[in-house]
Amino acid sequence: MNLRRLANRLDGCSRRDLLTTAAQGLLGVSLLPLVPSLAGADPTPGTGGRRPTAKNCIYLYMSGGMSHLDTFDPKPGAESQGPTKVIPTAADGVQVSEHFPLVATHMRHVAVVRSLNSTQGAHEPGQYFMRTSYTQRGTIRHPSMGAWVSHLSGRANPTLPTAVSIGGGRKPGAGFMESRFSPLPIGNPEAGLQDSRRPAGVDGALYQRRLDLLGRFNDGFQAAFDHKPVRAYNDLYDEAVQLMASKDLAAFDIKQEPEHLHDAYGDTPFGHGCLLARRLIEHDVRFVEVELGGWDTHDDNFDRVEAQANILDRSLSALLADLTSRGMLEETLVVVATEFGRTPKINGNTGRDHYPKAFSCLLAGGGIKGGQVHGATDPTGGSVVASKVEIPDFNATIGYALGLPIERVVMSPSGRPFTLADKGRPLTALF
Amino acid sequence: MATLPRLIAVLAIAVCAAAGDAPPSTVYSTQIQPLLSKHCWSCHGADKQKGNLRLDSPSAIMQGGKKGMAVVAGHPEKSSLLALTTLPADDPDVMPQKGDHLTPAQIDLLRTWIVAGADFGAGPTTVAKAAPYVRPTTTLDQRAAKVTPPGEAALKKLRDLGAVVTAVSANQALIDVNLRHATKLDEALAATEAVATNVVWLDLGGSPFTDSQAKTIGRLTNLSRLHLERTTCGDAVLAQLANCPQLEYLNCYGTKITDAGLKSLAALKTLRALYLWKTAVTTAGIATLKQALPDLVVTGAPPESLTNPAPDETAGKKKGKKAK
Repeated sequence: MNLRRLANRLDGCSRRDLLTTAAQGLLGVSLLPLVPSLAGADPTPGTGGRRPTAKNCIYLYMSGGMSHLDTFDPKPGAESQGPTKVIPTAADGVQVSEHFPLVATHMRHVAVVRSLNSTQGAHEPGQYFMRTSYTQRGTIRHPSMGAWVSHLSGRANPTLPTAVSIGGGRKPGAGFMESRFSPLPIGNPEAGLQDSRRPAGVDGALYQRRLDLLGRFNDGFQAAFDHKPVRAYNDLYDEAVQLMASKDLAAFDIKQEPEHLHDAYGDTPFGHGCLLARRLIEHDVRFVEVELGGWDTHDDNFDRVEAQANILDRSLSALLADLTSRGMLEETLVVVATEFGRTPKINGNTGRDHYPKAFSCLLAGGGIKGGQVHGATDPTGGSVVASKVEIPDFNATIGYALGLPIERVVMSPSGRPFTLADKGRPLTALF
Repeated sequence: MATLPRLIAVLAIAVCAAAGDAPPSTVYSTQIQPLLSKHCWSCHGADKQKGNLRLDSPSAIMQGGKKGMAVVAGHPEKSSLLALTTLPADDPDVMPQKGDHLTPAQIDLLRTWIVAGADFGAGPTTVAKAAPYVRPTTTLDQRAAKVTPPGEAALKKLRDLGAVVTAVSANQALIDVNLRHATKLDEALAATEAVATNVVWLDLGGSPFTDSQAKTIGRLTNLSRLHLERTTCGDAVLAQLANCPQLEYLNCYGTKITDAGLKSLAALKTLRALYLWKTAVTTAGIATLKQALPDLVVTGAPPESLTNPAPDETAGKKKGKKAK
């Protein structure tokens, strides 16, 4: 049901009643009695009855709008296809563009979703929608998927953050949630985690004295002003101190990987990012986003897509092979997402423009049945003709795979109800 | 989604009513028609037909009125009956114009009925189509039915020792225990024995686990996934796995297991995935095991480019690097 619309048209009191009723239904309280220690006792509920098909997620974000026609939804013979050719893959009947010869060999693990569509045709709103499942509003900041994962799943590694975000620009982060749920940003994957060691002149004792002093100042203030923002601020310090002391700090250092593996992933920031993502997942970080930009191909589409596709092909195929050999792919969902596709019509600058009406994303590993295509577009790639997938549905699928309670309502500080994927329903046919 | 309990109620009423009466009751006759008669018929019935709309018979409802189709089966967004009743109370077009506005429950009922196909005649089964999303039952859920949920104290003890415990079945009887960050592995392993029937997934990857602790594994008789990768354990653990007849996934990447140990896996008929990269296991050993378990997928080393690229390829890339 359209909760938000309903809630908005009710006055304060009956709105609360409605939400109480709705929450009972949504939380499944009446259906699934929860063992307290598996669900309610810890301050970040969500471990109860998760039933995950994947434990972790590597979310590769193609920023700028990846041309579906020149990547994973090619239309051989159509005028809209332009010069991009098509190759077969290891999965029967699944074709991709010629720019993905390496990924094609891993297609048995990959499900291609070709029927996505969005309502947002500009980059920032489109990326926001893809990462949060909600369209931008002036009155609220929605949390990103990484923040939802942090909030709903709890930590697997006691000293590392639950979510990490590598590369790219401004992202929705924790949104209205407390800042401790925000994915830890890593600017340059090759440099790893910056400022995570004590300065040279500060020994253990001095460092501890400084922390104690900080604690003395903070304790008084926090006792007097025990508010969420104040706690959030102190949490941030505690997290940082904990992280600095972590024996798993080496997870952030990709220089510990042999050189041939660097080569296999590709000597690009995105390749390093993917390698770092694998290391972090291996150390029980639950959600890692890696961004690859450069897909906004308004001009010179075919050369520029080829260049970006080569980067993605190499890094993604290495990542899938690496995860497979380590036995991690079964429990790690690999997502390739973007904000929209590009126009079937080739413009005057041999470019393609923004096209939210139809585009493609990938899901691999983590319980996904590979080698399948979900949904389809018409022969020009211009509109979805089968199994239309809305962005919230796609994100609900990620939440479902991770076993997160996608139906659980989390209230914003202003008292508005939100869920991980808005009203999206998971694509259970993919599992 | 809040409609599930309500829907069950609707179905229950419909089914109960159907049991005795003739003609058979339907969702329309028991739920929708009374709602329409109470709130709509005074203006859209036999006496008045405001906006050329009547809502007192199935054919009239489907015919619609001046404002278009009142009900489009399966499409609540195209049905003006729903659109106009869900408008804000102060909207000049909101329906009903006279009398009480519909409650959220009533609006929900209308929507559920329209989504399910706005059926006037058929029984309640058609409404079941509109049932909200319910996570499908998994094989783990089925297995979980026979298992007693773990005790509070045992779970707390595990957590206090640094274990990450996650329920993996709907009734929370089956659990995933991650001991990779356990503070005292010996004690934590001993603590898993208290919930031995509950542990279906066990993760020891990269932990200081050794063969001397192998006996515990043999006591977890419901295990279906076991991570031993990057530990120093060897064949002694594999020998214990004969006690885990439901094992499906076994990760031995980077351990000290050998062909000899592999022999003890031959009896595990449900085993479907085995990881052996960076072990001493030989192709002959794998071939022997595959004779016993033909459906088993064995994953060894990744393609050569990830382990050790061909010399000429490396040279080429080095050059490429310098050029940048």
